[in-house]
Amino acid sequence: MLMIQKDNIDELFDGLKGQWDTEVPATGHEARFLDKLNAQQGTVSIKTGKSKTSFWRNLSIAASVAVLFTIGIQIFNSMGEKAETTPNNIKETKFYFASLIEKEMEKIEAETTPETQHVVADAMEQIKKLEKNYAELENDLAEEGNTRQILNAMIINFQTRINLLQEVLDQIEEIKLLKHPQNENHIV
Amino acid sequence: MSHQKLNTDQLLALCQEGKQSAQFEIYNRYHQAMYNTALRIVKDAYEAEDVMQESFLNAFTKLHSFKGEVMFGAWLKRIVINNSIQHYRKQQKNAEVELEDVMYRVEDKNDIDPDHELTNIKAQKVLQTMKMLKDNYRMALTLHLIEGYDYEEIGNIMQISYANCRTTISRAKESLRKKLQTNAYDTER
Repeated sequence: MLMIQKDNIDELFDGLKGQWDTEVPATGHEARFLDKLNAQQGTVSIKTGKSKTSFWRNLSIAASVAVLFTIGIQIFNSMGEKAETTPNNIKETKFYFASLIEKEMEKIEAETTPETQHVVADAMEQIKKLEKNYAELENDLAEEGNTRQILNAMIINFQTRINLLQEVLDQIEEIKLLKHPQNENHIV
Repeated sequence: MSHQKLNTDQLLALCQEGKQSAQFEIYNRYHQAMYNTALRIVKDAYEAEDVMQESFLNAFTKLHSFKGEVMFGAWLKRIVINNSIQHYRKQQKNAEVELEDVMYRVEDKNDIDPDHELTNIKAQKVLQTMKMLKDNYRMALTLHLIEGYDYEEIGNIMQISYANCRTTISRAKESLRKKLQTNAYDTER
């Protein structure tokens, strides 16, 4: 029975000293703590999943641009000396970019949903136009031989396609976020 | 290597070197007190565990700033309290009172967890009554009467003035006294 008179709250608490900490964390708390401890030691700072992916995406864009220029320069350099080997170089370059583009297209196809259909269809049309444009460039190259301008145009064509696909992926991401139930809170 | 017999200072030196086994031993020694401290502020068991564990991680990363003017337990407890209050404030910002919580609180009123020993009932009862106080009353009383901080320290922790702190604590005591009396009267009947 607790009959509390004025000013004896302090006394009550004094009397209960050392009896407060009776609760224990839920079972398995040690394992959960060890997990956290490991996670902290494994990395200096843990980034969230989202910023991680965008970091990798930025890195991959930067890397592909870098590769692009290196290959471009190689083609230009080899052009003057040994004109007969250049088609091989171009083939390699084409192969590299084609596989890169294919990968991006696969990613986009995997992400296609009714909401993003419109965006994807539009992007595919643009890609087709660019492919047609590339085929024309190839013809030009066969007719006129290796000219800087044509090679440059081919590289820009690839670059445009990659940028376009990246942009579409970003847009799809955005649409997904918009449709995310978390963002629907205020619409009642 | 067993750390069971090492004293806290030796363990802390190992912790600072990043020895996980030492850090875990420190956790084992202090977690219960820290968990209860966090629980009295944030109220939710799951969140209290999270705040408590994060506080240990915080403590290990800034262990170099622990100069030993106070006991390690007191230093650690201060981190737990600060984190708990920070967590509470964050919760308040996107506060939603869920029906379940309200129902739980009402049910909770006179229930005593049968798992606890008889000697704990009194402390249990007081803690349960404190849960029904306004949040800032509960926190001020916890810090003052259970954790043993003085008005100035509590003012710092809760970011209120000294005078405000005094008033809050005296009103909180009054409110607790009334609630304990009603409860005692209820059980008597």
